[in-house]
Amino acid sequence: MKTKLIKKADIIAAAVIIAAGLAAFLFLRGGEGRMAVVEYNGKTVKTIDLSEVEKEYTFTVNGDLDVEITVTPEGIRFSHSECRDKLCIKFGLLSQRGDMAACVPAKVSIRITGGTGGTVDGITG
Amino acid sequence: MMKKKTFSVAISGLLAAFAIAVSFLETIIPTAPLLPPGIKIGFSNVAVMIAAKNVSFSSAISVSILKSLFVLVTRGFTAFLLSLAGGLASTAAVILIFRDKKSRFGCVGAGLIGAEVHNTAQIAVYSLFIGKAAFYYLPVLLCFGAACGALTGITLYFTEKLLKSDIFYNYYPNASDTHGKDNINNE
Repeated sequence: MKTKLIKKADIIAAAVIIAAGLAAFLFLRGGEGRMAVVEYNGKTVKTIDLSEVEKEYTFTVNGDLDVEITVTPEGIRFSHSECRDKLCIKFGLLSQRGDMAACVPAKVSIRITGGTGGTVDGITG
Repeated sequence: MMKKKTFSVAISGLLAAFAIAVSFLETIIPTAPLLPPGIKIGFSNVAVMIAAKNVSFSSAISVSILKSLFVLVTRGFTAFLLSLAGGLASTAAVILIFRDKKSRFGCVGAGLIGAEVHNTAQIAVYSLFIGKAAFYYLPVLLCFGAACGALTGITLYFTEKLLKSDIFYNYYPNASDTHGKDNINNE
């Protein structure tokens, strides 16, 4: 069976997918405020209003593995993890709405959403 | 001349070995400046597409499962689940495209759709582990998946050109004529 390299439908599919990706990206970027939401196993562990951070600090989340998260006035990042591939650390500093990083083995994730008024929940679990 | 079934098993094994080797290389070659973390081009999908197009659909599924089993052995259960979900979903998508002989999609489209289905399935499983944050990565994956998928499609096209002139033309078309008895159920 011979298949052509590229057909019209391929270009249409690519255009639709990239447009959807960009639209979703811009949607996540939009809005006011920068709230970092730290989750373990899909449940919120901590929310931090990044615009109110004045001094750098770190905290540990005891997920399936322990991970250390560093908060700075610029943003938030995974700074240490016990996992194998350290992918979470490679995501680097999250500073804009729509940014995310996750450590899948620990089941811990950070995402930045809009909204303000950071209520700091206690670190659980 | 090789029997059809023997050919199918042999070529599936070769393609699976290729898929495993390539996906392993992709994990150790750093792509940090070019691609966001966790994103790979997915050249092993070329093996799955070759299997789906030229051998059989069951061969494509075998290649994809064998690849995931290698991930299970080397990278653990979580990675295995992610690999299997993405692999099976994209294999299904690629099979659907190639099953239609008059498909509207070319090689680039097949690679692209395979990649996007792979990414979306992985995000779905990812969200079972880490929750909503998984979907925040979807826009990035959709955009890079389009580029990476197109690249695997282009690779498929040129790989097939090379293969057609050698393995598939020399062995496969004649195989079914010679050993009818052994020629059972190969799609």
